[in-house]
Amino acid sequence: MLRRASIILLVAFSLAAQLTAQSSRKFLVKGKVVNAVNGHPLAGAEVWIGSADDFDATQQRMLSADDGGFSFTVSEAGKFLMLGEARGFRRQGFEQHGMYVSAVVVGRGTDSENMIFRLRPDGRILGTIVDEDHEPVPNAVVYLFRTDASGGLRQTYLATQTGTDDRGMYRLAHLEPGCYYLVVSASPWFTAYVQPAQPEDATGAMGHRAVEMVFPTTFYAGVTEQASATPIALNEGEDFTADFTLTSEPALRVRLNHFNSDPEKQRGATLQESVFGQRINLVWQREVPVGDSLEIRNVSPGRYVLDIQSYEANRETRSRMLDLVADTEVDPDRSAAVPSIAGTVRVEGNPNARAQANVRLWNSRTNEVVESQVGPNGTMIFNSNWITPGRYSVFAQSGQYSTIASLSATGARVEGQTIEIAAGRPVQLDIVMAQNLSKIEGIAQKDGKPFPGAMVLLVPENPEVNLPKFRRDESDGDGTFSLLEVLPGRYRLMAVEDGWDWEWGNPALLKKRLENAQEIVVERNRTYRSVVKVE
Amino acid sequence: MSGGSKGIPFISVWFLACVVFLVLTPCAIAQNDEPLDPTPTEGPENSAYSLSGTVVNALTGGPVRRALVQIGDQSGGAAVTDDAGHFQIAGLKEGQAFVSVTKPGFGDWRAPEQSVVQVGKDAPAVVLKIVPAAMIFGRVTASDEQPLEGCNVHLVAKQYVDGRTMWADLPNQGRTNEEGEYRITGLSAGTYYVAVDCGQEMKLSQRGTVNAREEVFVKAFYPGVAEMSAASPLELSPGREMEANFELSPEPLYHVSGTASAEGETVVSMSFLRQAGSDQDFMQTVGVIDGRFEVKVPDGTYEVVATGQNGVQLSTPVASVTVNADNPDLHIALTRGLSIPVDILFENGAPGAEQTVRAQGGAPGIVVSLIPASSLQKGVNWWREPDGIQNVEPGTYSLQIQNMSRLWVKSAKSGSTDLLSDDLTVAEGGQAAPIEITLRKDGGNVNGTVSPASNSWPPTVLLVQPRGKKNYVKAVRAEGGSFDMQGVPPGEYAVVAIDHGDQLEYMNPEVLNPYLLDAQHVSVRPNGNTTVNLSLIAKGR
Repeated sequence: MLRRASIILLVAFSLAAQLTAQSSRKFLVKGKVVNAVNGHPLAGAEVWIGSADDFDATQQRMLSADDGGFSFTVSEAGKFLMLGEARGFRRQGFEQHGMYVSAVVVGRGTDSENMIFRLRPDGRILGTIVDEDHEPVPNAVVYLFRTDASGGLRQTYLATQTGTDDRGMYRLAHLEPGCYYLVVSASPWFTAYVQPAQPEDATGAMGHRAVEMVFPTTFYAGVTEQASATPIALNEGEDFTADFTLTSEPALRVRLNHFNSDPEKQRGATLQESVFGQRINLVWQREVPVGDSLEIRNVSPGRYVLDIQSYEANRETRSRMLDLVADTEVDPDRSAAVPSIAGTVRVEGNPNARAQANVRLWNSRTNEVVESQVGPNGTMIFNSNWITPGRYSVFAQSGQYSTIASLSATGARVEGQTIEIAAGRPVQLDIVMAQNLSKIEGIAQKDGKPFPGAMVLLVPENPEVNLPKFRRDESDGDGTFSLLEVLPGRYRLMAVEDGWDWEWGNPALLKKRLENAQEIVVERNRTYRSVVKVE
Repeated sequence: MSGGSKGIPFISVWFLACVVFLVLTPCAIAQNDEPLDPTPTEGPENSAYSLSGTVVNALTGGPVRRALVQIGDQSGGAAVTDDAGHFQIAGLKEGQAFVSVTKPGFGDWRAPEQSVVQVGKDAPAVVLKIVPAAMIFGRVTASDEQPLEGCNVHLVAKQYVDGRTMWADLPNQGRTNEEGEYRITGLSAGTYYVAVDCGQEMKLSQRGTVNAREEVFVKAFYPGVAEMSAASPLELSPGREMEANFELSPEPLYHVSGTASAEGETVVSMSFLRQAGSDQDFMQTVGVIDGRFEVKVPDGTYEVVATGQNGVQLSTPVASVTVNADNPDLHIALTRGLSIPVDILFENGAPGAEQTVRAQGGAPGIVVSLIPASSLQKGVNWWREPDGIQNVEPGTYSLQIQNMSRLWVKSAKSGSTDLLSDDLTVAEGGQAAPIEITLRKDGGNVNGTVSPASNSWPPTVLLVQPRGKKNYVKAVRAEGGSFDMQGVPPGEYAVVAIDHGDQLEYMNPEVLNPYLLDAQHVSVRPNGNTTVNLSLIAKGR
């Protein structure tokens, strides 16, 4: 059953087959909360239960007894969502995998009185960051990137970040098990306190250069090249220690020549380091006007995106990638204008009205994700101004509609639900959101019996260009599942027993499994029922 | 697709541990007699001098390595001390200069201090002392020894606001981690109260029971009391590390619902404030729909404050609502609190021929508020048009008029009380006469310079005229070594420039008077312009 990851309490999103209420009968949902790693009962864990159709209005909660036991009475048969939380165990759904949980089924011949609710303990990553003299580095920013295949293809994204305290210590608690990268961005503490000289002389001398030091952005386990970073495989309940020793080096300066030469030209500049395709901010970068130029100081060596925004009536952003190894002078007027992406979002059946929407482009090869809010005037302004030319999957959400029916573009090649963006070419994107979509309901079975907790996957034709058309669910306690908002077309349907870490959007890995998958042709606005064999 | 990649990085600005300061006592800077060779530098020709010296720990006398020494004026200059605490800054011009020292674990974030040194041909090396910062750390647990995560730990200390002292929350706060631990560093010596607030998360009180009664942790002061007057203060000396642990007992929550009425007003929302002496240790805000509300609160006596449609402020008397059990039928009667109208009059004409015009809609740049006379009583009542100063509780107040305009305040009265020299007392259940403020636009202008100047922490210039129990004081900061005060009432004044004068209780004549011995005296005429050049006075008289 699909779980909305962002809400604290689960709300039923899927409308599974309604079960007939069996009047006046009461049902028990009873069981034990245990530590998923060692099976020990968890006393005092908080357990919530509520109808999958209306969780908020029907929820009950209790603390598990000293033997880990819990027991709820419900007055109707049906599907229920169950949540649990304990000290050292973040809030999680029953048999949760990513954003999916397995609903508890009551009164359908399934046993709901001997539940084992396995809570997965939190992991932690902790450590101390010191400099080359073994002095603590306070105020370092520690970025935690996570790599997983929850989006179908392996992707590394920023999961969270924290800072070091006065002892140089940091801690990242309540982590799911998985594969992580740690990245530390820091400057020697004194760089934050150096007052800019007034007025600045042309060379920027006056002794300041002596205190312009940086630590290079450093990846676990102590390397400065992203390609040499060591992933951390964090297990359930594990405390992983990752200490860093940073070595300072003279900071670089990036001078934007004649940046302020024209007082009529209002513009600003930002320099952001690019790590795993995402931009991170630098800790103590400083902008200093030098003559009619602008100097960005306290820059560490690395790969950067420089954005120059003009604030005139005709707002424009020019960007360029900079691989910085030494002081660098840049002609700000020679940066490339970012490919401008404009477009409209409409909803099927209402072709003349432009809809407000959120549009997201994902380049799975470079790991870049850019997002835009589309206002009523149809302009897309992306949060990242640097859009590397390449192929992007297009995702969109407009009100209740989250499936793209059709995609067309000028200035970019469209294939399925992807667009190919070329350097410097303006793109006009037209997105039509689908309504009256179909639904596939079914039951996952193994050896002829319902199978809960399986990953059910619906694969579109030409999967390599249709990532947004995939659908997934987790089978519930009675093996049932629902795949929602399915576009008309030809698909393959499969259920995988242990597929939650599988890179299901990777055509090479899919190919073999597709041979045994059942084919299903979906038409508009229909409900299909299917029995799927669990592989 | 995963939502994880939506995360937007932000800059963690965590200033607290590392702050600029220097001891500014007569012995803090010692320039020895060894002459120093001027070091040729890469700067302009007239910047031919160096400043060298040593940074030492004021407590131990030992050298402090890797401290940042900065020149705060001229055209800057900075250096980091070596292992022996030595530094040298080249490229300086001859003359007086401000110097400041920074090092994590040392200093006072509230009053980064700086001192004046001599730069020039025969200027001696300097010894700069810095004081280790203090720290408060501890652990917050429930009575069953379970750590409490995510609790905010506040420090309350005396702070200087517009020349007055008041107890207020410091910006450096702690937050407990998953082990219940917190630490707040970078503190200067002084008296601190520690308060912990674990939010309003409602937990179940009993294992094994479905929908058991919920409970909550209320705000507590160290060592576990509800009000500040009963709390144990922590006295921190320089470099001291003090532990303050909390063991909190949750309180059961009662389910209270009912109706609210308010003299014909439609109530939109209500906040239940539980009284604990002069403090409040629990607050819960709920919406009111069709006059009905529902709230969960621990037992105690409450004041209820409410907002009506159009922002009307309503309240019950303090500690008038009692909760000691579930109650499905509680009626709360709200009334408008005491509000004091404010009338602004513009006056024209020479003495003896004055004419006044009542202002329509206030005066731009004039902010009027009533400040409780007791530093323990919190909350300032601001004037808001057109309702006047609202919800004024019984007590004694000082009228504060912040004047960013070119006008000057000739008088401020409530009935027969002269609010420029006396306090306003509001009796229980009483009324207060409207506050009448008379403004004129023929104020003078006082400008000038302060030397030496500092870029990093501009001195405070005070223009002072004794007026009964309260001095008239107008304060500005001398940015870049110069200042300009407009809208100065005609009259005779003493003028002083004080280093870190913003960290001084200058509204208290006893504190300010010693500084006035070195004041310059000026006479301000209507529409006149007076220039005065001041020498900086160090704080600490």
